[in-house]
Amino acid sequence: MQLLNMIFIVDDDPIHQQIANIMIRRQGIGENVRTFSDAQDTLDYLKEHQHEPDLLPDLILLDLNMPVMDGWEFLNDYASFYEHLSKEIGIFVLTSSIDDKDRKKVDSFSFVKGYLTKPLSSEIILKLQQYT
Amino acid sequence: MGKALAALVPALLLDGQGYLLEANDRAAELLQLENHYRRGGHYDQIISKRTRICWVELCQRLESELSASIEMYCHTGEWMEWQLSAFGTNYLFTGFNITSRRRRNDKRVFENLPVGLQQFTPEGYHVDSNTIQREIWGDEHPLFKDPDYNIIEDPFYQQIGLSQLFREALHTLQPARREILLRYKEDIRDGVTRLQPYYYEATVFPVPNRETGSTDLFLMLNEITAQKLAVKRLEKSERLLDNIVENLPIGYIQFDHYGFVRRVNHTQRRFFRMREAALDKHYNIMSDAFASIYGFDKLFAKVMGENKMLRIEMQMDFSLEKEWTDLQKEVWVDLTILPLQDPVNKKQIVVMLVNDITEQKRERKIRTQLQRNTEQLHLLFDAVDMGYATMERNGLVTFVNRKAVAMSGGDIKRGCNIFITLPEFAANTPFAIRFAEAMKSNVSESFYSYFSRMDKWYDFMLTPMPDGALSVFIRDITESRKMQKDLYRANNQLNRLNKSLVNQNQQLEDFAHITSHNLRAPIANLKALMQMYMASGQSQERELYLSMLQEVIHKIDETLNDLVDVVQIRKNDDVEREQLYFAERLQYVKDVLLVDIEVSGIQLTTSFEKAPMLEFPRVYLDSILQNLVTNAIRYRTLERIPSLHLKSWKENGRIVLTAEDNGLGIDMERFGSKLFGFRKTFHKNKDAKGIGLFITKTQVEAMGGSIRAESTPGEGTKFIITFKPE
Repeated sequence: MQLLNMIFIVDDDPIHQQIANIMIRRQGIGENVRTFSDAQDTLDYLKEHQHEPDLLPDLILLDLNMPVMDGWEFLNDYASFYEHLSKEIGIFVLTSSIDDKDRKKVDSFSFVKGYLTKPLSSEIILKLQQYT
Repeated sequence: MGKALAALVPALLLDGQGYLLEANDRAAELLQLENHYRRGGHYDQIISKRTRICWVELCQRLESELSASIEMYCHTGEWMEWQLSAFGTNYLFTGFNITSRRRRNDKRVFENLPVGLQQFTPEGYHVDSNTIQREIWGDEHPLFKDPDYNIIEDPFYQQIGLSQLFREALHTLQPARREILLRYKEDIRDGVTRLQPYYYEATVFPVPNRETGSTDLFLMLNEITAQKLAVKRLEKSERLLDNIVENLPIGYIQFDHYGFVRRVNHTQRRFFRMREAALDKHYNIMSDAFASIYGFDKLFAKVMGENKMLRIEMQMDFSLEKEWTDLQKEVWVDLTILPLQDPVNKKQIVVMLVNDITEQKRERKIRTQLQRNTEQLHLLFDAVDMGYATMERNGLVTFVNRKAVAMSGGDIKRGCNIFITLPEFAANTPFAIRFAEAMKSNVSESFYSYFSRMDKWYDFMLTPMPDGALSVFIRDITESRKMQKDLYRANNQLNRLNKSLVNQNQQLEDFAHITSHNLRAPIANLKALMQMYMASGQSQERELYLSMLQEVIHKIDETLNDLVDVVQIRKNDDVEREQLYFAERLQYVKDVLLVDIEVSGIQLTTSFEKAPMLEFPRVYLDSILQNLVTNAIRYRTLERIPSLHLKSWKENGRIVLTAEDNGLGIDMERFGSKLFGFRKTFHKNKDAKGIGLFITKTQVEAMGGSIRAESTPGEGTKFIITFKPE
């Protein structure tokens, strides 16, 4: 099992950020965990470093329900440029929504690797490990 | 001397009874006495037969001392005056030559004749002329100027036939006469020159000239222009009359007073299709079998007898008459039979004017039939349960059925003008406009219109007819209109209900969304923290998890409270309303938000004059106003002094409230759909909780109103609230 270099958590909920941080580190699947409260900031970062694979994450855990820019907007924008990224990034949606409509909508983004519902658990982290 | 005298002076010796005793040679020559007559002949036999004065009369004249003389023309060409004088018991009758004296007299007669007279040589040379004749020719005529001029050889006079008269008279030794157009005279009147013809009756008569032994020719010219022109005029009017009669557009048959046809004009010939030969037959109306069938003999006699005009219409079957006409069919004729005097020959005639009225009769019959049909049609129209009327282009009603009269309230009738009689149809009303359109386009117009007088809705169909008139069909659609209205109302209610259901459905979906995201998120956190807490062995870690749990629980509590508020509002649709003044409620809100307003420096302006009051739950209005003001403060821009303008007015019976700020604005394209959502924020503002507009929308909608927003990022936002009509 290869250790993931970098994992991004995109979520406006600070409690969740803390929980995710702790759990990922405790499971030991990634060296670096970086949290973003703002989806726009995340996009800006990815675009800025799109030609620097070392600075790009291996995995992004994306929340849907966020202020200003939500997960959907993020996905729409990401779709327009992810092919130019110098590294393949595994995107997982991690949301509290158990609405089937949301799940189906996410399925329409081919580059999204999975739809995960909160809370983040060791089982979910195991799934992420399997992805790597 | 006595003998010589006796030889020169003609003399007769007569006895008292008038018997000739002796005549000298001279007397015997002048009187052409034969030898046995020179003695014993009687005065009356020798003289009276020439002079008409008998012996007794002459003797009485002598006794009465009157002039007892006679003048006598002799075969020698001499004129003699014979004088009776007593010679003892006998009488002497002596002659004196008075030829020269007589010639002078003749000349005077010649001169004073009331006609022009002119003497010519037999060859045609002018000899003498009286003044009238000279005036006729004119002094400048070569007759008087040129001694070599010969009238017979003048080509002009040859042409007009005058020369011919000379030749004829000379040849026959008889007078020759004819009318000639001798010359034209210029007649200048009103600046127009007309050539006036001058007609003369020219007579040339031969007179033997004893002196020359030849025959002199005398030309007598008598002006007859006036008579000639009168005759010509008469001829002209006769010709004109003739022409008129011939070309009269009605048949003309002229009979003489015996009943014989004398004339049939062109129209009649054509009408009868008369053969040429038929005209030559002697047709008499009094004795014709066909004419008597129709009583023409009696009619003719009546007209002649009473000298009165007669007019009659009759149907004649000409198939019975084959001699005069090829018509061979039944015709209707309008006959006028009138007695007349022929204007030319003044004879009594009878004229029959024949007018073929078969077509008129047929038309009249058709018209009568048509009229009957129309009446039947009108009866039919009276029976139908639909208003029907016909009218002229100008609105004149030509027919209106009973139903239409009833529908109009009983005001219209045949002959009235629809535009004047019914104010509902006057100029610029829907009816008048459609009427004009139908007339213009010649296409039917259908429309319905409210007829206020009868409180009815009528459906009209205006149909232009080929004759330029217009048919109007009227249907009472009041009932169906009412049904339509009810249906419309029911539909509206249904729509409202549907909208309300959709709204409730939307609310349910919203709620599902809220639960899914806003409630499940903290619970998921709780779950995770609990797991972590349980799995942790370190007290320090556990402390951290507990504090985090506390935070999450607080969040859940907050969210639940917000939701309860919303559910309360939605449940409370019969919350008490009261009359509220916008200005008063805004003042209250300003007091509550005093600090925020002061700190932000926001400028609040209002214009509530057009709709100062609203019936609404006080708490809700306060909340709405507070949210609007708070929003304007929270999302102000530091680039300018913040301002908020609140304004109210009425639109379609609804009160509208707008709140327009000059703040950050919202990208409506991006966030428009989420603007009024639960816990939705669009600014990176720490104070933003995304609940204010959600509550505001809930409160407005709970009271039947609506809210929307208009915004331009960087310029400001305008919220528009439309309240439910009171």
